[in-house]
Formats: sequence, C-alpha cells, structure tokens
Amino acid sequence: MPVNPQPFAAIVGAENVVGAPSELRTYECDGLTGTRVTPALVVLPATTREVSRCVKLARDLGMPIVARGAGTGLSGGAVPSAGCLVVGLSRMKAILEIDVANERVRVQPGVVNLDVSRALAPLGYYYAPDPSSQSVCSIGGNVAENAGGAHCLKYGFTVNHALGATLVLADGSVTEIGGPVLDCLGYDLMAAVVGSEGMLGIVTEVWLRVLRLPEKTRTIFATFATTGQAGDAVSAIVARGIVPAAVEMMDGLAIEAIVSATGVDWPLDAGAALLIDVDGIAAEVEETAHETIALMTACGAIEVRSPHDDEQRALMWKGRKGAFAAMGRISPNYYVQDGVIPRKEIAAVLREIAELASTSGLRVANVFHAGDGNLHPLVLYDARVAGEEELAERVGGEILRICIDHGGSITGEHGVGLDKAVYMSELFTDDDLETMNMLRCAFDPERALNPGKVFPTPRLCGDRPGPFALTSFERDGVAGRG
Amino acid sequence: MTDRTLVPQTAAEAAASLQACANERTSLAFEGGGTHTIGRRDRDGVVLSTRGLRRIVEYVPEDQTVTVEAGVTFAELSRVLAERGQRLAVDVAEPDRSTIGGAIAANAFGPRRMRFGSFKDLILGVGLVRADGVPVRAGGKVVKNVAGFDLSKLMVGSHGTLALVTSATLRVHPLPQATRAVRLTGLAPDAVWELVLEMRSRHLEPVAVSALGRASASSRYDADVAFEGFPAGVDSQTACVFEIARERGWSVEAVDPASARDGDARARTAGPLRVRGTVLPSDFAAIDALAIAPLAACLDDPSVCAYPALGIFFVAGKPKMPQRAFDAVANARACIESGGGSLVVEDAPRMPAEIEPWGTPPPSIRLMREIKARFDPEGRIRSGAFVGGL
Repeated sequence: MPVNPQPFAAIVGAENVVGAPSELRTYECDGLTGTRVTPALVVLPATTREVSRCVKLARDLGMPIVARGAGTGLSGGAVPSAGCLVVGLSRMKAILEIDVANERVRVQPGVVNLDVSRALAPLGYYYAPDPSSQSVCSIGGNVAENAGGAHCLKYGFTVNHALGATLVLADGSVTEIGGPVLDCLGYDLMAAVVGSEGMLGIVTEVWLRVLRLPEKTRTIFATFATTGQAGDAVSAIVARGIVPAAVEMMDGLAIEAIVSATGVDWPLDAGAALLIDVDGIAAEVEETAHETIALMTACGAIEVRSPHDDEQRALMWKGRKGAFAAMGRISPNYYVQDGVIPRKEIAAVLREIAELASTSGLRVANVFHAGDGNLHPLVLYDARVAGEEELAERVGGEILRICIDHGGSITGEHGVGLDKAVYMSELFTDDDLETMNMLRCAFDPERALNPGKVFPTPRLCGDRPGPFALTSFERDGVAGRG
Repeated sequence: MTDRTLVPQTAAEAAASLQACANERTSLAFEGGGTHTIGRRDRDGVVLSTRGLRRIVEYVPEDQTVTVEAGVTFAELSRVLAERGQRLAVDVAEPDRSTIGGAIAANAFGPRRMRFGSFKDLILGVGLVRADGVPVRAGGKVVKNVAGFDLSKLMVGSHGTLALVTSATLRVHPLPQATRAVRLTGLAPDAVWELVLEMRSRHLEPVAVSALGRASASSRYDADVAFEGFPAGVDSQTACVFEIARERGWSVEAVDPASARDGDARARTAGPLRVRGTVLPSDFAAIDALAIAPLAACLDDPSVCAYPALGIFFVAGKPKMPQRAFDAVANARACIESGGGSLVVEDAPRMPAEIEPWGTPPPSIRLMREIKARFDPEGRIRSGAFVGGL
C-alpha cells in the first residue's frame, strides 16, 4: 500500500523525501547486492529532531524502520523491510566538535569515516578504525556494524572508540548514552548499541575517541611460496611479543587480481604475501621493523620490501584496500565472505578452503586480516552461468561452517545482517539468542527497527520463548522470514 | 547475616543453584573476592560465591586468548600466563583477592587502562547464568567477532545485577621485555595535566600515568610515568621525560616500576571512606581545586590517586568529622556531575542515607530499567543496589 509522503515532507521538506518508484530503487539494497527490497518511502532528515519526528510518524502508521548510512555494508544490514521507512542519514555529515585536549570528537552519523581523520590530520590526530571502505562508509554505519579494518589488530574496533551517542529510540524518543567522560553510571549502553546492526536505535550523534598520529610507521611487504609459510611468519612475529598495527595476508590469486587492477609491481609467482605496518615511537619502530623482517626471512620470505617513503607505503596499502574491487579483473562476479578463526588454525582452514574450492570447481581468493584471524575468502563465479551464483553462495556458507568447526565466528566485521542470520543457530543456542533478544526488547519492544536481521527466526518480546507465532509484521504481510 | 552461602563447583552447579532460587523466588547476590562490592550488602537471601569456579578452562598462547572461570583470581591467572610470557593487562589493586568474575562485574581497572583499555576492551565472550537459571553464552573465543549482540560487554560494570558471569574469554598481551618508571615530584595539578599534554605532543606512549597526592602538601602530586616495550623504545622515552622535566625545572627521578605500582595500589585500597571520580581529563586541575582538595582536607591521612590521562581519580581517608566529610562528598559530586562526570562512593563507614553510593542516574536510566526488567523480571538479583535502584 503506498504511503502518503506529505506528512513526512512536512518534517524534512519535500526535497528530502524519496517516494518515486524509480528513485526508491537506489535504496533497495546495500553492498549485498543480491537481495533487494523496495522500501515504501525514504526520508533524509538533517537533525536529531527530524529523525525523531519521522520515527514517531512511521510508528503511528505501523511502518517498520530501517536506518541507512552510506549503504556500503556487505551483510545486508541496510536492506529495507517490505513496507518500511528508510531513514537515510547521508545529510547529517557535520563534524560538530573537535576536542583535541581530551582526544574526542563529536560527529553526526553521515560523516564519512576517512573525513574524520582528514579533519584531524592537521592537528596530528586520526580516527583508528579503518574499514577498507573508509573513503565512502559512514560513522553511523560503522557504529551499527562495529566496523573494524586492517589496523584494529593493535587499536581495536569501533566499540573501543565510540564513547557515547545521541540515540533516537523506536518510539521516537531521544536519549543520550555514554558520553565524552569515561564510565557513565549504570549499564554500558554504548557497548550494547555498537554492533547492534541498527536494531536498538538510530544514532544521530557520536562521541569518538581519536588518537595521536604515530611518530613513525614502517610498512613491510614480503612474499612467500605458500600461505602456510606466511601464516608461520605471522605466528612467529606475534610470539615474539610484537603487536603490529596491521598484518594482512593475500594469496596468489588475490595478488594476481590486485596487480592487474592497481598496477602495483608485486611478483606474480608468489603463493602468498604479507603486508605489515609497525608503528609507534621512532626508536622502537626501527627495532620492531628490523625484527619483523628477520622473523619473516627465517620463515622463508622470498622477497622483503620496506619502503621509507610515504608514497610507496600508500601505494602498497592502496593495493590491499582495493583488493575486493580488483577481483573484477579476474572474475565477472565474486561473493565476499567474512569469517573468523583462531590465529593458530589459519593454515588448516586455508587448506580446507582450497579443498572446498577444488571440489566445487569455483576459484576462491583469500585476502584477510591475518593478525586477528579474520578471513575474507572471495568466491569467484560467473553469474551468466546457470547455477554458479547459488553454488558460490553455498561455498561461502561451507566456509562459515569450517570457521565454526575451528572454534571461530561467522563474522568478524561485516555483521550478520540479512546474509548470515541463518547461520546464527549454528553458532548460538536458542537460549543464547533468546537472551540477545531480551536486550533488543528492552530497547524496542515492538521490534520495529530493522526487523528480520541478525536473528534466524522472528522473535517476540514475551516473557518466555513459546510455540511458533506470527509476528505482527508477518500477519500484516509486510515482512517474511529469512 | 545472610541465610545461606552457596559455593557451586561448576557452571552447571551454579545454574542449578540459580534455578533453585528462581523456583523458590529467593533473592540473591553474587560474590567474588569481595574487593569491589559497592553500596548495600544484602542482609537477606542467598549469597552465591564464585570461589568454587576456579578452572582455567582453555589457554591458547598462540592466539593470546584465555578462557577462565569467574572465581579465578588475578594472581592465579597471572602465574599461568607468565609461564608463557603473557599477562592480562588489567592491573587491579588486590590481585590476590580480586577474581576475574568480580572484576568484570565491577569494571575494575588500574593505571594501565591508559594503554590497554578496560575489561570492555579485553573481553571476548562470556558464559552466563540468567536469573531464571538458564545457562547461556555470548560473544566467542576469537579476538574479532561481531556475530550477534555482544552481551559480554554489557556485563562489564553491571555489578552483578543482570546475570551471573561463570566464565569469560579474555584477550591477553605479551609481557613487555623492558619496563621503566619515572617519578616527577611535587607537581601542581595543572603541571600534571601539562605533563600529559607534553608527553603526547612528543609522541611518547606511556602505559600508565598515575599521580599520587602528597599527604604533606595539599594539591601537590608525585606523578609516576611507566613505559613498557622493547629496551630501545622505553629508554628513549624515559630520557625524553627527563628532558621535559629539566626544561620546566621539575624534579624527576627513575624509580623501580614495582614501587610505582605498589604506591598506586595502596592509594586505591585506602579507606575507610573511598570515592572514585570520573571527569573530562582536561578538567583535572579545576576539579582538584573544587572537589578533590576540599574533600581531602576533611580526611585524616588522605590519599589521592589520579589517572589524569583518563580523567579518573580516587580519594580515600578517615573522616575527621563524618558529617563534614559527607558534605564534602556531596559538594564534590554536585560539582563533578555538573561537568558531565560522576562520583561513586566505593566504600564508606556508616554512610548516611542522603549519600547514595552512585549519584544522579544518567538520562538513559529508563533504558537501563528496561534491561534490568528483561533480565531479572522478578527483581531478585541484588536488586536496588545499583544506580538509580537498578
């Protein structure tokens, strides 16, 4: 049933309401492009008050609500629910306050991740979490997904840097949680909200902790004959007590794609490569860089490069951060997976993935955050070949099962969203999920915010898990399962 | 005295105990090492002690993770980790008594929080028993994980009012190869803050800055700065602090890192009245004048310990005249809360009713009450003992 845009236009202005079917299609998916649902209406508010009023109005109309940042998420966390209002936060992109003395900034959710660091660079500071999409993804989305990135090995994830927020709740009310001062009294609601995938509230302002730019950073690139050797090198570095800022691994197929797409002069005959940053105070960085190189050589590194100039460093990182996009050079389509395993299982898991690839007949490239065991296998396929897309998804699912079998997780940084909700029951018991649902129900008893995500089956907010029952959205035909 | 103390030996026994309490509608409180019980100690109902839950369940040095049961003490865990050159980077004041579960519930920390963060930053997963006796798990065993809502972080600082933590998986760190400590003596509060800023501008990365108030002089601090890492790095940073001090005419000396740690721990466990304040770090000097010094003046043998880079301080001592000390606490709290901070009375002898341990609940208290109501609908777990009657 079409929704009358008029009352929403009265709140945000007609030019900030999207209702035309052709324009709504822009919002029908996020980075998980295989799943598309057209929302009933999109609003683009500019203030907390406008968000609050839109949410209230949508609830009065019985519409589910899906918040959306830059739409770069890879797990379908921002895919609309049928009949929903999408609250797009792209216009809220002001950096509201920079407090260098206290190493805090206050920003709106639509601010692009990299723009925070750009604004702080002249002052000698930066924002540490750096997802590969950082030049386009927004802070609000980062908070929803607890975004990570290559450098979270040393510096932590969004949850370690987001201190407080202004939150619009499902009933339209506005509350402050956490704040610039540490240890706000009571439960740590900020820890609950970060990574809750837009299901607890809509963040309209965020306090972020920012860090002093390191005095010195050394980037080291090394090639190996096999991923097993590269994995041994990672273990040796960590065992030595070195905590690099980042440890990235790429296998031969990934190197081939990156070379072809970005023009970096990496050797094509390597079976694996490591890209490592060590940073900190100058006196220590030289020592750790030296040791890191020695350890890699001892583990069989074929070639080691460690440029001193920033331009060379930036080029290497450009290669790594462009890795997903580079797959386009060697395959018409690819399916990104995001699994986590204990670091010591890397070699065994990569072997199993290779076996899986060869049995399935599809190629799998591996690009991943080796330091914290966060794999990003890229399953390559051709959508024009009947059945290949489904096969790729099945291979992706099997990879997650391998991660679970090795004591890991189904997602390290991309989130559960729509894509992985079905795997949640393999990782958690029904009681575990029910307990997570208690938290959700405390914030949003009607489950109006981003319904259908994270949980494998719709859950009610009753006292006890009971027999099967349709949710109100299912009864009204506005939402299904999955 | 309490009716009963239960000491389950396994997580399953703990679940059975909670189940039995649920069936009997008995209220209960959880107890670890007893070092951080803030506010009311329950006089009725059951106490469930975690001291029987003492297994180190799984330690994977290669992954720098460890899974331990709640009743393991810091000292016990440290011994095991040290054998593999690692540690849990939370420096609680009483490692022999403090348990991991209790420290998670209390969000206990020490000066190294500056570098390593608090339990929120180190906890990867938990085993819980809910108020209804159902055992559940949240988070995982890997260092990076965003599958589902992370209830483990919600347990940090929840003071045992939501669920019983029976085990936790934690990130551990390598023991440093070299540790150095430097003491700058007799600094005024604004000089302490200047020291923090100056070290930052020179890219120094201390693991801890702990400013101890000098009993002999009001508002003068001895600031201990600790560096950890590889020898070349810690030596160059130590030299740099000497240079900062020389430029400003501050008196400075190298000290034994262990003595710096002991001084800090002593200040944090002093009493009998002890408060903890949290403020915006840049407000430290102003807060010292408006809140810390006036409160310390009402105490015999006052001890003040501040982590200026974090904006956290502790004041402890014996009230000269109880009523004047409580008035000073109330004044300090009003001043600190007006700046967005908080003042918690961690321990107090015969605290009058008007000095509530936690202070004014934050604006989000309504959400907190909803969470409490979902996790403990009958209000049986240490109910009313936490912020705003949670």
